[in-house]
Amino acid sequence: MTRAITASFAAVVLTAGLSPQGPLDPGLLLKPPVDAWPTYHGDYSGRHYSPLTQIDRTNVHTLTLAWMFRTTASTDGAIVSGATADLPAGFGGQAAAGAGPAVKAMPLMVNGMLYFTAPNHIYAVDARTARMRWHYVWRGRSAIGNRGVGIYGSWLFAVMPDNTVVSLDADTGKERWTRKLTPPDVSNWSTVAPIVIRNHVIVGVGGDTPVGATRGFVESLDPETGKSQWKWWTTPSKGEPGFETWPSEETVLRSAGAPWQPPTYDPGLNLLIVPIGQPTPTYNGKSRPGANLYTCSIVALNPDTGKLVWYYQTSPHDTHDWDATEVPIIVDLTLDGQPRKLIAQANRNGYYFLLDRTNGKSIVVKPFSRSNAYLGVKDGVLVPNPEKEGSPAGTLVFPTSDGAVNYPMQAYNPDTGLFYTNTTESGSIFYLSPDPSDPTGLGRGQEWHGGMYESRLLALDVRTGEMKWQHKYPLNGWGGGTMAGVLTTATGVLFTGDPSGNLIAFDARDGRILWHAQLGASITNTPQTWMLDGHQYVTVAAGDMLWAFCLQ
Amino acid sequence: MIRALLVSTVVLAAGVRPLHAQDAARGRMAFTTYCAPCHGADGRGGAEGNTDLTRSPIATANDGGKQLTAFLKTGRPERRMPAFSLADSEVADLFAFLRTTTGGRGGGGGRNQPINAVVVGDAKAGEAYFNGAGRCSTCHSPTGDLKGIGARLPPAVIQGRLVLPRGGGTYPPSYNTPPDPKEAPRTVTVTEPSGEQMSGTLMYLTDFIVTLKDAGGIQHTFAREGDVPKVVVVDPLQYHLDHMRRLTDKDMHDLTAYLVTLK
Repeated sequence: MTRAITASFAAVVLTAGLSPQGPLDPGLLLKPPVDAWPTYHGDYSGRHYSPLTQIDRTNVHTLTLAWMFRTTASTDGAIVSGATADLPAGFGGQAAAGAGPAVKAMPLMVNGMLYFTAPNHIYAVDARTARMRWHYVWRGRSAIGNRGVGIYGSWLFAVMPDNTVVSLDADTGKERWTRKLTPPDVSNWSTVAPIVIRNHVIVGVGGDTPVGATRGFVESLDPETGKSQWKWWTTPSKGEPGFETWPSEETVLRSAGAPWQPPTYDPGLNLLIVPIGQPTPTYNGKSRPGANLYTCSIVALNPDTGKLVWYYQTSPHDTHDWDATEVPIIVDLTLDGQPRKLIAQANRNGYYFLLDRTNGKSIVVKPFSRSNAYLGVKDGVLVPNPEKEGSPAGTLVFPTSDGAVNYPMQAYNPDTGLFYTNTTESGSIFYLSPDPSDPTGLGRGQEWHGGMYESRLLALDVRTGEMKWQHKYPLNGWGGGTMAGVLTTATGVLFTGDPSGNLIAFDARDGRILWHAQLGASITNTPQTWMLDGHQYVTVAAGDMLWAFCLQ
Repeated sequence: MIRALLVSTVVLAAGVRPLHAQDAARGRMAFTTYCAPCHGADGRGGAEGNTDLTRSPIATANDGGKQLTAFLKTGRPERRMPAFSLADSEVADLFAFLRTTTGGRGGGGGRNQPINAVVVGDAKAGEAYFNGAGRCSTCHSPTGDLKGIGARLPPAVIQGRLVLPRGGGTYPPSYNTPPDPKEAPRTVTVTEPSGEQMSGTLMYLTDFIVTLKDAGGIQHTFAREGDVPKVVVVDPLQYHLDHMRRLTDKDMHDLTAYLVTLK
């Protein structure tokens, strides 16, 4: 089988000029995205940077609609699979009455076909005509979102909300295999998009609401069979380093730490960079004294073995749901005259982190939004202020549990040297139950969402985290989880959404607005761009609609 | 400002902004009839360990009951959850009750524990802050708008609303949803390059559009390009937003301790 696939890759390369619909050339995964968008982030770096130049600052104002596509929840004509006997109406995403499931996924574009998901739905859509080739429906439990598919040759992979990985034939949507990642009694739910590295299909579980159900894990599957190649628990077992940051084995076994965001990958160092979610009980840290590794951490794993190489904890002993699951962007640049391999991330806790990718040591730890929960930085790591944990009397904390940022994509543009993200300043009163010993749930915490200030598009100096420019959107309107992601290009154009349903093109150098289009619903993923038949397309999802634009 | 504080308290006491207290009361009856036999009187799964509704993503979704409505139509027969053919209004009431029981999204599906331990501050220090550094007395009076507030509202609601009257268990509503008629509105003044001006209630504002409603109830929309026309928004709660940034936990607790004494 392996030989057959290798052979068909070669065939694609030879006939690439004819733009056939066929398997993915794995070499594309190692380059910035041009005539394909073959993996969640476009490439492995997570930069959300496109080298395409057809659309530039001078002509972006002539962008016009190429097509639009609306998702459907209907099983008419669909390939239906899954364990649940009946799929209740409305399951499969937060669809409004009469609307299809919302797309929070990043569509893959491979050889003229788009592949993307909504919870329990996988769609194959012609990138030229917006005609649906096939639609796959999984009968199972619902979830708030699904980030998309991974591709290996002609095979697609997606994680269903009930933690079942399905593999489909990309051409027909025919099911190849399914594999449930968790035992039936585990109440996690999954959202992640698989990342394919060589012959490893890397997946992880999500699910922090049914708290304490289980530990998070990252798993690598064989693309041909779905068999496990390795599995890495996000919290250390007894006897492993880091176990001493938990009070007991029992707390580790219900520690959460869900890796619910697609990781990034550095082919040079062969490191998989995984951002890890928060510990549980979420708001109540009293039952879990210690740093609680590797929750709220960025970890580097060897993708061939699943062995931990290094870690950096962004929120030690978190009690505010500040996952580290914003994308850790791979950045290579010269710092103080030295070429450096780095990772940049604007974190949910309001701090910008610049890390050394070879060892996980921090270089910059600097707030980009109001934060009042830390005493300072010691040995390169934030020191939480115990007085800013939730309390029975209430504690005023910036930012809210939703964070200064959240899962929407951040971007790095090597031409401007700037790091971009949308952000909202916000604060909440964090309460704990007067009975703080309850080990279940979110620690019997609750939150009074107080002030939300204006949302901003930030451009930070990637080297220092210093703000170079910002665009304040009028008023507010954005919780961290509902922001639009950011894309920038080699021509200095930045695409993102505002809190009111506009897709906006900014000048990446100074934040000047160049173009906009009102999409009628908030943007629910991150703009992407790719070439097809000589046209540079920009696509974005807003609710159940996928929109494509190109130059007039 | 005063009106905003008084009127919205009723809704906030129920925990969730768009729902009405009577819905939740009717919902309690529906809950007792249909749900409690299997899920327990407190909805937490009952003696048989069924689904804990206070943590059910469907029952606690911030979607106005859409998922719950759909779910009840089919049930989950393979797990002994039957379908219920309820009127939409009945499901809406049930949802309202479940939301008030669970606190909605407050904390990502966490239980709505009674917050009854918030009065820990020094009432005298709170009074001093009210009249001094907090500058609360600029707009509020213990014998005027705040008279009897300690008797009208639970302490936790007082504490939340002194931080921001617009806040709540869930996110504040988007500024670009039409203003809540019960709240003091934001006003906006639009000035054209010619000097021509128009003021009114702010209805909608983006980088590209501003819409206001004038005193006669007519809506006017202006295209925006950069700073033209000039748009100035006045938020009656701006002081609360600014104040929240510098408010300490001690001053917040002291203020709460003071306000609850205004019976």
